[in-house]
Amino acid sequence: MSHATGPEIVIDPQGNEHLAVDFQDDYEAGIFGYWLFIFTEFMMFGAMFMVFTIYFTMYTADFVEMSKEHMNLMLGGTNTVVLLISAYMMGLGMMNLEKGNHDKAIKFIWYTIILSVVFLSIKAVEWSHDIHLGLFPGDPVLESMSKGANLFFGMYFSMTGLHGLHIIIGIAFMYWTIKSIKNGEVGAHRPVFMKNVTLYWDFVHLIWVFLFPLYYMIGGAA
Amino acid sequence: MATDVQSNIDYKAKNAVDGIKYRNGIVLLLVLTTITFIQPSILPMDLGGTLAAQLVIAFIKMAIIAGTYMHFTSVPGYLKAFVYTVIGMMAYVWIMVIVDNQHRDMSMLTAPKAGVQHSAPAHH
Repeated sequence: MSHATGPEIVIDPQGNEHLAVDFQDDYEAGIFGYWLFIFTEFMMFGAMFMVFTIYFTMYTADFVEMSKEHMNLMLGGTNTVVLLISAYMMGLGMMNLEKGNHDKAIKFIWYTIILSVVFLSIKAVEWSHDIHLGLFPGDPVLESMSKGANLFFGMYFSMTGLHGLHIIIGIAFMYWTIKSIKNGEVGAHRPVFMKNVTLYWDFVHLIWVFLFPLYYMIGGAA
Repeated sequence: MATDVQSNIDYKAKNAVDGIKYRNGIVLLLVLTTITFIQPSILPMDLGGTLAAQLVIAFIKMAIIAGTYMHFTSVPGYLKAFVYTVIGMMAYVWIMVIVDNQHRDMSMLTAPKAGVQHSAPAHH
């Protein structure tokens, strides 16, 4: 297949020219593309946090009551720590990849995947319990409650659900990274893909840093 | 080919992960997470105070995650400018919506429905 344009040449900081085969050969562009993606994520979650804020100001008493009575602080807190440690594990994986310790990098990515599954399992327990109580949007039990309670759980399931979906996508990306390291496509010489997966995971962690106090801790107000 | 000052920075070297920095980062984050949990017990406040305290902790954690784990401090200047612009626009829209929300008459929406109960079915 012929190309209309010539090969792309990238120049490293030392002034050496390299042939760019794919995005991983252009470190700066790879990272730039990731940040553009993060902007779209930021806007999406930002809009949801904004809607939460509006409903929270409109139905403050209901939101606090629902948080106090139905949010399991122990499970939510455990998930906060699990996600924090998983971000640390992913960081250690990145550190080892950059040092050329590919086996160790793979090991740390597996630890991150295991912790992600633990996070999702705990979240599944929480969701199951709430659904069992009839607190899922559309359930007659929830519909018989106040409008604020309906909005609280509507937002709770939407936001934690979207966050959970990001966790699942993150696990898929991590598995892809492991495969790529094993077949030599990603490594100390080409770290961009893993760098971006690590940054993605940090962003997922960042979202939880705000979800946790807004849903679980507002019920702790005196 | 001319290169600007930014592209002469060795990002790989600047972003090289420092194990000690990571360890310090997670220790700080764990301490802040602990404070998040125990704040209502050790420093009980009304809703406004609790919310403010929790969000201040969350923003400090965000700064640590962005600075330490996401290496935001070492990204090129144009990316920093993009991020600050996005945050600024977001904050502007956010403030406008909240101010509008505070001053708009929402009573037709917030008035309780007839026959609606507040009590929850069961506790955790």
